[in-house]
Amino acid sequence: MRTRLFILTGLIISLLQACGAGEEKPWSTKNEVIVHQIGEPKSLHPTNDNSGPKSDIEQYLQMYLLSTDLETFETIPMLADSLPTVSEDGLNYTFHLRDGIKWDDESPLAPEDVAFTFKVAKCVLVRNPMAKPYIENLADISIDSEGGITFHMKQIYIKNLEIAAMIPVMQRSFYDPDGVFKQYSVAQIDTLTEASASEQLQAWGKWFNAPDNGRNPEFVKGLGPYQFERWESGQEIHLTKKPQHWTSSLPAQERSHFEKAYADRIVFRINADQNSQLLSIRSQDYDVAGQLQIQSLLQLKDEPRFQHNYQLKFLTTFYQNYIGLNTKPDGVLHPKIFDDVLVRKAFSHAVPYHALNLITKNGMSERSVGPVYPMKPHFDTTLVGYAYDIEMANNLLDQAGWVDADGDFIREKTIEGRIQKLEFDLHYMTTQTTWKDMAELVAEAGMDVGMKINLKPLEFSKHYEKAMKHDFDAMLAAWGGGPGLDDHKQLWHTESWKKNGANFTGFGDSHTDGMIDSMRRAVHYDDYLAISRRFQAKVLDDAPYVFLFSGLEGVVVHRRFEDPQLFPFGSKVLSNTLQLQP
Amino acid sequence: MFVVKRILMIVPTLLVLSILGFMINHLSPGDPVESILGGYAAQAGGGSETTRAEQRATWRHKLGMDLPLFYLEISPLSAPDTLYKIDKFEKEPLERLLDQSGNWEATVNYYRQIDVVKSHLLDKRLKMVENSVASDNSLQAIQIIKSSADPQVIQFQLAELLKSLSGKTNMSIALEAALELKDLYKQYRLNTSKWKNYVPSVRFHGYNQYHRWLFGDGGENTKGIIRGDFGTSYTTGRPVSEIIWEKLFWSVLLTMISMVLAYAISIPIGVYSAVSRGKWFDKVSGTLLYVLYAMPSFWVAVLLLMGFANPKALDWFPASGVMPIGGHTASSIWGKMWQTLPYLILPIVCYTYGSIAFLSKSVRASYLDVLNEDFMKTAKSKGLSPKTVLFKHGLRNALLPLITVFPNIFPAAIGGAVILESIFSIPGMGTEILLAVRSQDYPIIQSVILLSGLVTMIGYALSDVLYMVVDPRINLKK
Repeated sequence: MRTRLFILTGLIISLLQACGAGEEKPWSTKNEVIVHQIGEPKSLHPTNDNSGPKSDIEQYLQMYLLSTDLETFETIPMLADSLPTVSEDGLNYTFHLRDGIKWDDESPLAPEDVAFTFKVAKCVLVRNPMAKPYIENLADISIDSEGGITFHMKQIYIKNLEIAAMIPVMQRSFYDPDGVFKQYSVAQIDTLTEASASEQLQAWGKWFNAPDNGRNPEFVKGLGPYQFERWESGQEIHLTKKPQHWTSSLPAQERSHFEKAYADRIVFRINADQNSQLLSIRSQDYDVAGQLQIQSLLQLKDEPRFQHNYQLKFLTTFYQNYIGLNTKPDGVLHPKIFDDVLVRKAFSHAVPYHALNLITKNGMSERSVGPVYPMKPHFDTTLVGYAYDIEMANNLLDQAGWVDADGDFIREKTIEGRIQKLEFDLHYMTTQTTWKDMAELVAEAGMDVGMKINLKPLEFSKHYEKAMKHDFDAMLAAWGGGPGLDDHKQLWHTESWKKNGANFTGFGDSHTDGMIDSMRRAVHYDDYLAISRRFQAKVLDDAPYVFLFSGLEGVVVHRRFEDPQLFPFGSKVLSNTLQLQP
Repeated sequence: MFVVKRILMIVPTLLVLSILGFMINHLSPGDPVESILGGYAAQAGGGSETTRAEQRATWRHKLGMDLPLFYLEISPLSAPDTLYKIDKFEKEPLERLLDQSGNWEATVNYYRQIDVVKSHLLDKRLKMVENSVASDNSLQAIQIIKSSADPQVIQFQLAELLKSLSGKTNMSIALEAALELKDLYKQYRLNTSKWKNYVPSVRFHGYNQYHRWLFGDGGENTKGIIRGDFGTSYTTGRPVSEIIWEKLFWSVLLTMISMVLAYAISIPIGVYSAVSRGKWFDKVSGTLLYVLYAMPSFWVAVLLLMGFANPKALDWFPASGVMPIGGHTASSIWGKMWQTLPYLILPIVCYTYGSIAFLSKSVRASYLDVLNEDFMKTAKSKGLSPKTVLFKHGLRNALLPLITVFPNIFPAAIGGAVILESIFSIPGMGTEILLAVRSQDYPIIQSVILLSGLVTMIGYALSDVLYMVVDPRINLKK
């Protein structure tokens, strides 16, 4: 019996030792970066996935003709030697490739690789339905004798250039060793149907779309400084530095952010649970974490151990929440309340922004005032959002004819011969408790100005379905965005409302549609800027949405690395640029 | 013979289960085609309406959504037999209109005319400056008309439409179309045959979505689950069988370890509690087991993490995952297992403690019955050691309640423990199911329902056989 006990005790002690019982870990000296991710991508296939986590990883593996300057958000060349020259009619963009770019097999990057990439992206057999609408405007690509690559577009569009920053350039000889695509131009591929595709092309499509390709290191190849090494499903994704990369011959100061490769390895560790994320940071399991919950960060930031091990910074992100108001109600199922701009403005004044931020966002949000994110260069800095002002709200409602005549603290108005109470539903999503908290605070504030707000919690897809069908009075939701110029058609054009698109509120008229179309067709940035400023002012004045907050997100980087540069979008930190402290 | 019968009974049960699972998934909100096409975010994001519609049609075909749902269709006599072919965006308003009229022809004529008016209004010529206000108001009205079936709303908006178009230059074609729309709506309201809505019409569709799911579409997109093809995940595009196989390992491993531990711990506790009934061991263990049973596992999981995986308390175990950060450094299988063990201890505790409480109490209860049996007294009086009496003669007779619990292991292994796997970041079936539900990945959800049902039935069949093995007096043949 004693022997058994002895063995058992020994086993437990050695197990606890293996677990690192009671030890405070010294800083790791390994030249690798462990990055926390809350979810894994669906795939790392060069074309067949556009999930968020993929771009966080792909940025180290792949390269594009153009890219976005992470500080100024301007479009900059990446594989192209400069921004393209644009023809007078604004329909043709000619690029030239940088010298010295080589694939992993040492063969040089050729213009044909670029053309091949877009043939693949447009090919009907390639399973990238989410990307196809964005490149629909590309008519053809031609290559001249001097290596110039010209993109011929179907129509002028302000975001035409972004096509070149969207799809990673693929090596033709690797992805199409039999030259199946050689016989087709981009224009021919554009008109191809599944039925009319040759057998050879069908076979290629089957091979290219094979579901395991996106997780196969032998298939995922690119021009980036790292290569995909392995994927432990649900656990980790490993990238390793390429032993030979075309940028290694460039002087360090000439290398862009994306061309640097200081760490030997980048490991993405997946963990979706808030509690274990917090503990993992305390245990120094991660070097970089940009997706932690604000509550966790606020809990960590005052801990001496955390302060010793990590630096924490908060950045404004391309995300904002809002209350959308149905400006074009049918008048029967949804009463005519928010069709009146005075009521919309009154509601905007009745929302207690500061209290909302403090109570539901721990004070870690910034007010947003319109359709353009404040970090963007075309944001109109002169715009001032609606202030929380009960008196103003009451005055506006009085002006709009809404009065509390029967003394029940709810205003009413006679509309088309019928008495209508100032009572409406506010839809919110059941995905997070924050939505509920926000909705309750707004409903409480509504009572101060004689509005009765009934709260309607809805499951995510039902919430958006109702929004798209205009089946709501008011709705609480959020937008996400990115850097670059805004195309307002999706969210603000009346066509998008008429087609049950994402213009939920019914904002707009011919005048604003004209502005949006002109912005889309602008060839020069200055033209775009001028119209954009007018458009932002118009949206603010029309108040179809109560613009609430742009969220702040925290980024945590281990102090074993030198002071990192942080960016307000994407992964926020480029792990390839992190250098160990000397 | 009994075993054969028992296995044969699985087939119809499984069939019913497959139909239930299939129907539940198809009645859930959301649209898989939208999620494949990039959902709301990609909508109108630069692509034309035609591209979107074409893509919707292509994917509806690839997923078999352009087929009728099931073999038997019971629908109102008023509905045409090809209603299933219409995309849901058009089908829903049409069905709402048909509900009020029962006259399919009149409904379709009216509904088509809405699109005619809309196309006239969307015509660029009508968007000239002088007509912009009229065009805006009328487009708003026609949009509301299209999405509504409420007579009050439609009549009100028809009046608004005509008001905005009357007397405006270049609007005559649209006005004519709108007047015809008003006329068609009148006919739709007058020529009703509502009785048809109350007369059921039964139709048979040999080839339908359920059939395709079971038997495939000739290999074009699926071979059918009958041939082991559980379909492809809507979100990742990977075969469902591959995903399940990949994720099953951790769920099965944790379930099996925890069940072995639970039986190993709870049987002695239960036996000694019964033997020492009313004594301190029975009282203390009873109270503790009740407390354990009452504690929700997700709460215990968080407590354990905060207590034993926290540098601020005891940093004995890792907080998440199933392997060291950066991967295993050991190359041998034993080395890898040793490195993985610390990651499994807290999850195993959480998986196990609830079962220990339940099983111990079951064993105690059945042992109390067995202890008073004559054969136990005989064994004791024969001079056998207490250990032999308890565990050889008593245990076999007290096992029946434990066998009853045994089949539950199998669905637990297939389904994983959704909350526990999420808390400990275990890449098992629980985490996968959670992701599938969130992203409406029907093929995965359907397959899990089916597999869970299958293994539960196998488990029950097995437990029936075990009853006979443990107690030969039980004769299930009768």
